[in-house]
Amino acid sequence: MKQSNVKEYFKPTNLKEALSLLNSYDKNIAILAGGTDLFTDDHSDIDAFLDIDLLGLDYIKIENNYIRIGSNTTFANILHNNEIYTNHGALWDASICLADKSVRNMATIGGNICSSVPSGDSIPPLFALSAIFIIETINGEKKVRPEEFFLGPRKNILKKGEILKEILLPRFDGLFGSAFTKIERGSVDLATANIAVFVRLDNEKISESAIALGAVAPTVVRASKLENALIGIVPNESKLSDIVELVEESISPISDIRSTATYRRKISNIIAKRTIISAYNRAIKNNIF
Amino acid sequence: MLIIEQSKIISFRGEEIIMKSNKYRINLTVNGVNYEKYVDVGETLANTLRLELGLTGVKVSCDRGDCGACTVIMNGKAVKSCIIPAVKADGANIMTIEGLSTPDALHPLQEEFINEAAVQCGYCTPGMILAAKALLDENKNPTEAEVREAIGGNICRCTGYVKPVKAILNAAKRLNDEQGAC
Repeated sequence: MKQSNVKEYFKPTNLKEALSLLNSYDKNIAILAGGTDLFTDDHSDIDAFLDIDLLGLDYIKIENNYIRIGSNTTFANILHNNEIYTNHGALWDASICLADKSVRNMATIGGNICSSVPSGDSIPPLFALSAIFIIETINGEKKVRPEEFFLGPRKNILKKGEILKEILLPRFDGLFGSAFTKIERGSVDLATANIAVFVRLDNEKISESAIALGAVAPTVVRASKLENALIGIVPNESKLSDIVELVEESISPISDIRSTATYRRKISNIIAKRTIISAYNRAIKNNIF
Repeated sequence: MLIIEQSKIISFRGEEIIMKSNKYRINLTVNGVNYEKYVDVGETLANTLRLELGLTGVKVSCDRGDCGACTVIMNGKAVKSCIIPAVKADGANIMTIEGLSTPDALHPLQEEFINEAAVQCGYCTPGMILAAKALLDENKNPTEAEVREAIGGNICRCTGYVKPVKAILNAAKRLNDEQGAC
């Protein structure tokens, strides 16, 4: 049996019912979205699942200022969305790199966020694109930035009785672009290192940037020093070669089964350069890929 | 959906012991047939298909969603059944490899896998064929890149993927020539 201990399964039909259950259940209850992380290995500490499939959290809504993505939206559905493809390239790029097509049919963005694995591919784009997480609790709604949400490997601020409901992505105007790069060992793997870059341009020059790296620190981190160094420049290979080293001040990679700290440090420089150029090129082309 | 089953067993000392286990009733349609089954919460769809329904064409290899041998089509999409709780499949419409052929004929995908010698040990084959079927159902004319993406979750240790990809492209062409016969 895949899960040795779990005995109860709940599938509430509305958020209020779900929150009530989460708050009142006296043993260990885990929120089940696609199950592609939670259901792969045995978790003998879990007594019950709460399946969120019927809560109506599988949607992508385009509004004037934001895109609202329900937490139970699969990556397959994210990939089908033209607005995300066109204007939120980093998230789209990350989604196509994530696992494989069959897994993406079940895996959800909420699950990827709440698993809070440092290499989670959707996470750096959410940092770089200034996402806002909407958390629903029995006492009302909380809005949290990704920077506040993640605490460490598989640790986040969600408390018992709270559920990630929605992810907001701001819609940008002017010249902007974003991109994502993933370094992995083979064809389908967790990231050895990954990075998302967002840039905004004033004419040809970068006026604003956000750079987030994953799998090189206990949580995804922003490369703030590098971000500041990009302001006012027109990036090219040689200019970037001088400054990408700054990325190393923001990361603290370890050696593990996938790679070494040394390699991760070196590759962070390279993917920073590559991805800044990709994001910049998208911005220059005014989002025509 | 919750049924609490009580099973009675007799211990070696002749005592009656009542064991309770929570089983959940699920209804699912598999290969066109409706089933009602009672499953444990911790049980996978793969094991339920194999053991409760006898559909051993569904293979379990890595049992953690990496290799794709367990791939089935659920509600039109290729999914890895070894990481899906059986309870989550309540109400689902599922196709396993057993449902792909008719009593009279193999599906073109199956025929082309044979023609192209795309089957060696055969263990990845049911899952890979179903991943391809799901692709062809949504995209009648895939490029080679799209085929490789669709089977990207199916690991094959034998063939190097060349013949399977060729077989799938052949099958797509045949199905298009047959004007949508699927």
